[in-house]
Amino acid sequence: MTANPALVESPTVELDDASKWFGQKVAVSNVTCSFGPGVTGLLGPNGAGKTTMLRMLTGLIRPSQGSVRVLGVWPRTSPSVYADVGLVPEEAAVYPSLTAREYVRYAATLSGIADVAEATDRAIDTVGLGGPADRKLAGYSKGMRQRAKVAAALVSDPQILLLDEPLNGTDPVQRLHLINLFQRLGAEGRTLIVSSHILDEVDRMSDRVIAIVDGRLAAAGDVAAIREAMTDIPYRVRIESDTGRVLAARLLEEALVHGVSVDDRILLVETSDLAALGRRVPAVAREVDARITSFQPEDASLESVFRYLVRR
Amino acid sequence: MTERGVVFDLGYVPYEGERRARRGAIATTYRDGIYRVFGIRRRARKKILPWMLVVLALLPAVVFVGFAFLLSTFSPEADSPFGGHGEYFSITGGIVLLFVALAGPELLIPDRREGVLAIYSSRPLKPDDYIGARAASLLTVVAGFMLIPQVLMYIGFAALSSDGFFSALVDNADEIPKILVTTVVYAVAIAPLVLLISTIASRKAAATGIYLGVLIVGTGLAAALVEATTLPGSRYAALLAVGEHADFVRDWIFGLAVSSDRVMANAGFDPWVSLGVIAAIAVASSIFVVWRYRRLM
Amino acid sequence: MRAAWAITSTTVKQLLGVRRMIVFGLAELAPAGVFLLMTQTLAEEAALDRLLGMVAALYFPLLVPIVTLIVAASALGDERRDGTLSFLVLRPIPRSVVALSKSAGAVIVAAGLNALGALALSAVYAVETGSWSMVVPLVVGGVVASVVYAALFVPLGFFTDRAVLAGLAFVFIFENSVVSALSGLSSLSPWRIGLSAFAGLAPGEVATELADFGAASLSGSGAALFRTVLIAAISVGATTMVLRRRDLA
Repeated sequence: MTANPALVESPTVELDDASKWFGQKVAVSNVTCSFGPGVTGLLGPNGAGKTTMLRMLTGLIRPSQGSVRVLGVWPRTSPSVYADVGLVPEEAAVYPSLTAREYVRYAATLSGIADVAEATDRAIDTVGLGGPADRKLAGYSKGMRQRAKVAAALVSDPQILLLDEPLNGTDPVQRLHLINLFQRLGAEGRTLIVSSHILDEVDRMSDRVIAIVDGRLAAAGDVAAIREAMTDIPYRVRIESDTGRVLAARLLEEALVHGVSVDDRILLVETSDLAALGRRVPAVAREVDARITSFQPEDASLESVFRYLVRR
Repeated sequence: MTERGVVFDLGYVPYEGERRARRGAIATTYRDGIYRVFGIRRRARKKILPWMLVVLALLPAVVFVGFAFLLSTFSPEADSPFGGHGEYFSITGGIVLLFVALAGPELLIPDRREGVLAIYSSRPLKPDDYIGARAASLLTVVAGFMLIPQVLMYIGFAALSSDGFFSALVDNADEIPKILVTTVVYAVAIAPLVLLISTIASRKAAATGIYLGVLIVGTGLAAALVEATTLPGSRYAALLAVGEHADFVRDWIFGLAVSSDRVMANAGFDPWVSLGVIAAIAVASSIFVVWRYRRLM
Repeated sequence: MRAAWAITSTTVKQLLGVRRMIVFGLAELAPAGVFLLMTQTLAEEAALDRLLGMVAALYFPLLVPIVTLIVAASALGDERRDGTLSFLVLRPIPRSVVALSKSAGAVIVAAGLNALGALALSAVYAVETGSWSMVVPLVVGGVVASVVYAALFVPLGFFTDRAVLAGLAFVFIFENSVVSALSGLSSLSPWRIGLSAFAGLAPGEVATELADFGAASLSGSGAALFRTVLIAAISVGATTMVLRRRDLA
């Protein structure tokens, strides 16, 4: 583990002080981070610069400043690296006159795969498109097109997979299937960078998140560590107890408690040390003979972290 | 508020203003069509070509009026380097063809390609209303292209006339119905065909190319058939000279000498036959376009 | 090689839908149909005059450019506008292969369609006069002109969705007006390059007779082919540079 959570040891994808502007608009600003094996969630509000970042990583656009390296090179100057890189773009850009099978086969052929037919079948089965694979993409739903794009990205068995909103338009079953797939690929040692707005699912499949706000790197690391780093925003913990007021009065005497609001049986406790509070509350409850029926941090989730990051 | 739920007033204020319903939707679609073809409320790049064509259509009229003003002595038709109102339609006719070749596809194809026809359908707008509004936008633009330079010239001539402005306006008033009728003829000759092609083609570039190709190549083929064969009935090939029917009718309205390469004249047809062809194409195109959009929306 | 062929064949499939085939097919066959009707009432010796008239006034200056323009402007331009360009360029294949394959696809479709028109015209002439000597020269001329127009309009179509109009302005204003007035510029006119190739391969004094139709300063088939290859090479090179240097999203 490096000292800077935005950087990983043995990175496969790196941005070094990378910026991109379009005229007066700065889309990405001085971002330094790296990605390695496993699944990294790339989060940010609309217009934060996530798609621009992914496009720089793939070489589709040139950074205005700084550098981008994938497997040690900038892909635009070394097209051979694309054999190890797969992109699932956000836009629903497929060839409507091709069937899904033709589309994936086309991707396999362009990627230089030896056994195109076998690779095509495998990729199509992996995303669960076996049945409708011989229908034209023009007749596909959004979720099916998304799966076709994932299949086209996977067909070359890439080491690095860049996924821009890959779960868009997918139904819950398809979504679960894809999440499991991405987790499996990450566990196999591939580098997956998943840009998404569906926070609870990114939370489930990512080992690590990179948060971009207004084009700048806002946070990096695992969710709990990022939340812990927000020392200016105390945790809010919801505690249910049969003797709420008595417990509240006693908790206020604890140094690690910043404030308590109580409404009969429900306490909302603010603290900057969640773990310590979790250890202290049972002891305090025993002292005042209070029964705790629920202890729930309200803002330690990725969604809460994301909301705080965007508001800063 | 009930036992199980409550809605808080967050300041949402529903729209209480006038709801213009179907007429409002039609007017909006019409206005959007005009904005779209001129690139209004769009990026600067979208404005270059249409406004360049507008300038090209107006410039000769402005130059002529300015030229006559500088000369100080003025006698309209005889001194005009561009001829009179009738001849000016040739200049604007060519330019408006280019404009329509761009505008027609721009009005119809993007809505189909981008899948937004469903949004129009979800409003109080019938398919006939939609296509009628788009056609009206195009006809307005064509009429504007043809009429505005003519008005400029008419008023310019009158202002510079040695007989006095109001006298000249009255003396030349017989030009007005000719100008108006010819404008309608050009509009009806040009617009329906491009809408027909734009209804069939799926790409703007293809529609533009096919439209201009039909006009140019079609006229060339018609001329070849009429002039180079003596087969019975070959003269009827002149009816395929789609690109020149409006010009032939214009010559008739303004009493201009018919050019020697006028295919319809060479085939022995009268101008009212061209009028009939224009009307037939307009009706047939309209029927097809309406039918197609009733199926799409 | 497989990748190049895959791109080319997919491009051909995209550019040649059923509707386009019907429309362009009819357009290409129309001059032959008109010529056929003409020959019903012509003396045999007038047939050559009429054929050259159709070729110099209709086929090369109008039909070939318009068909090629519509096809070529779509080849790369539609990929960019539809958002599928990333699918092509994010592959372990050189950008030059993408540029060459896309251009080849456009040429195959445009040249194929224009060759159909040439074949039909020369077949009608052959039926009328018994001489098949115009088939190869006319087909070669049509293909040459198609290659040159495709070389110009494939990159133009990438840059602008007004490529068809810009191309038509080039054809009607520059080629058919300016070059007609200034014959020294004829080497810059793609359809005249095609016409040169035709004239150089055609038997008899076709080149001289074409001068009667305003197609002066024809340079001969060798020069035409050289110019074609040069223009095509420059075009592919320029398209490759654009794909390498420009932001593609």
